[in-house]
Amino acid sequence: MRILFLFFLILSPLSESKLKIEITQGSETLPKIAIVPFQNEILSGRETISSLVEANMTLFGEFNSIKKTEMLSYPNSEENFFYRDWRLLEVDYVVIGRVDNTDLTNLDINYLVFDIGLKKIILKGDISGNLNELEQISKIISNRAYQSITGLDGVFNTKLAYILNPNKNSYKIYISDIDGSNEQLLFKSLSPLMSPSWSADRKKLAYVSFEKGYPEIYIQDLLTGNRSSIDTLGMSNSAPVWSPDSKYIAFVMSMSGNPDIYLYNLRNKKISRLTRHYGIDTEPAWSPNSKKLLFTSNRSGSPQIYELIVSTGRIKRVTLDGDYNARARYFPNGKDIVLVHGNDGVFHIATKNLKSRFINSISKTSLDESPTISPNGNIIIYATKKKTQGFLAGLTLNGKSKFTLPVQEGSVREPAWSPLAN
Amino acid sequence: MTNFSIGFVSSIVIHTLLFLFLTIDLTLKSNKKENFSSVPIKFISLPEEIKTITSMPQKAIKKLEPTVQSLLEVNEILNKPELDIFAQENLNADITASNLSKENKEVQLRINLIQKRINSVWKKPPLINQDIQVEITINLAPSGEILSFKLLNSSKNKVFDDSALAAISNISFLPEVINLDRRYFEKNFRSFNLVFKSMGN
Repeated sequence: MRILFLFFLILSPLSESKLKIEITQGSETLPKIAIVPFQNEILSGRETISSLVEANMTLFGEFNSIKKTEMLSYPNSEENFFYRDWRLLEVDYVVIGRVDNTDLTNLDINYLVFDIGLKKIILKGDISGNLNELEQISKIISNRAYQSITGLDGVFNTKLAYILNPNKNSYKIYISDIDGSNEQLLFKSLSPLMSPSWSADRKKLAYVSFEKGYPEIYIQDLLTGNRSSIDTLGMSNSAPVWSPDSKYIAFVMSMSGNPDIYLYNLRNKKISRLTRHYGIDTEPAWSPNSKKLLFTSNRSGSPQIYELIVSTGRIKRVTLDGDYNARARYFPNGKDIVLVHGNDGVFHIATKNLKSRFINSISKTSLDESPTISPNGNIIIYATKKKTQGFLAGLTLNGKSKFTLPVQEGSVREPAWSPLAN
Repeated sequence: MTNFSIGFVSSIVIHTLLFLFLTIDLTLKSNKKENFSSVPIKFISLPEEIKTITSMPQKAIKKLEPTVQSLLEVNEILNKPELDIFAQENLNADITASNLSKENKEVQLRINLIQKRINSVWKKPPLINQDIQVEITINLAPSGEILSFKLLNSSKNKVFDDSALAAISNISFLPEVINLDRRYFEKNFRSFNLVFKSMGN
């Protein structure tokens, strides 16, 4: 025994003596990215690919870009690329490219992404298309560059649905590209419109309209514009959410004056009931695997988040702290949620891990509502208010970037981020 | 009846003996243990885990192992108003309890400065609620020049590994060790490990 102790005594200083220094914080500054003008990119007065890519990469404030005038050179291939030029400017990533075939109907674009710290190429790509597809091509290049740098899906070709309330008696539902461009009016009404929800294939949108005097769910085809209400025998229904597997819409209906969560089967159009409680159950949200639902209920006396396993009907309370927790949504990992967390009349956007008790407020404004998460899980857009005007704001999860989305007129509410394009 | 009484008494005697024997044996064992742990295993107990306090959630601070904190870092921590009293008391206790040798102070000061420098250049990639870490070995010259570095334990996330490697290759120099006593340098910084942690996000 003693010999063994002695053995450990001799061994332990050897095995543990190496100094370990932990680095947990990381830099406060954003990664710096340079998008070099692509060779032959000036095409009949269109916006250039490099400036479109730059606008995308800096859209959510995840990167700082350097101006083209600050660049020491405009390399367009691996051969004339010098890492030291970019290290001097403290750039972390560089995107270069060239348009090889200048036939406007058949552009051939090659591009490279360099990691300056690692001194290596992290992405080689090429894409072809015609002049009218430049915007879409730039989004695809941006998505791939973003993915190679961050390891997360790029979301530059996703869309946003939202409700615009230009004045007191007018309601409009819009979809637009995630950068706010290509706005498209889906429906307008003199009665309130609410709760837009995307189908997984991005071809349809479900929402609530009060056009008949009571809340009713409509499904609108985005291509044809056709819309139809779901048949619930004339009972008011609301808060539709499309399941990620496209089989169901979960929604809220008041059978006997008391709201509960129901399922609408999109194939056989049958309705089944999920919750039975005299409290108010509302605001359902699907888990990414379509097996669980989050919902808000006041069954404990105050609004709190609950999780329901659809197959068994088992219900578990998720939030324990605070007098107001509502409007939860899952992160794409299915393990974390975003919600509206209220205390003493102040409402913040907060995140919470399903397994821990801790609720982490992440927004700084005070009347925040309706958070929607980017499909890559890194960005949250939510609705907030300045005096009486509602507008959309957003932030990245690491807290380094906060931004607002401009509104031309009236108030914007209830943003809904589309899934990724297939 | 007598048989029963005899049996009863002898059982008591045997059980008492057994009890005494066991307790004595245990005391002996625990004594041995104490003796053993009081032997200094290492000349200095190099902190296994040094954390940049500012980036830690409070619950993690409470779990902080009693490590050797330099006065510098402790002062820094105590000046942070967001720390709760519990954590402050813990840290105060740590200063009085720990035996701050000259080497410890010198080494700890360098550790703090190196942490600060690497933190300032590390562009942590966005990680959605993942707790991962990557460990990198660094070989240093007494001039502060990074002679070589290599990945020791991958985080299994390529982007995260790359971000840490890029941070080190962006530095190439750690002047913090230049004025350090050569013996301390050889012992601590000639070859050491950097652990980059995601801490959730």
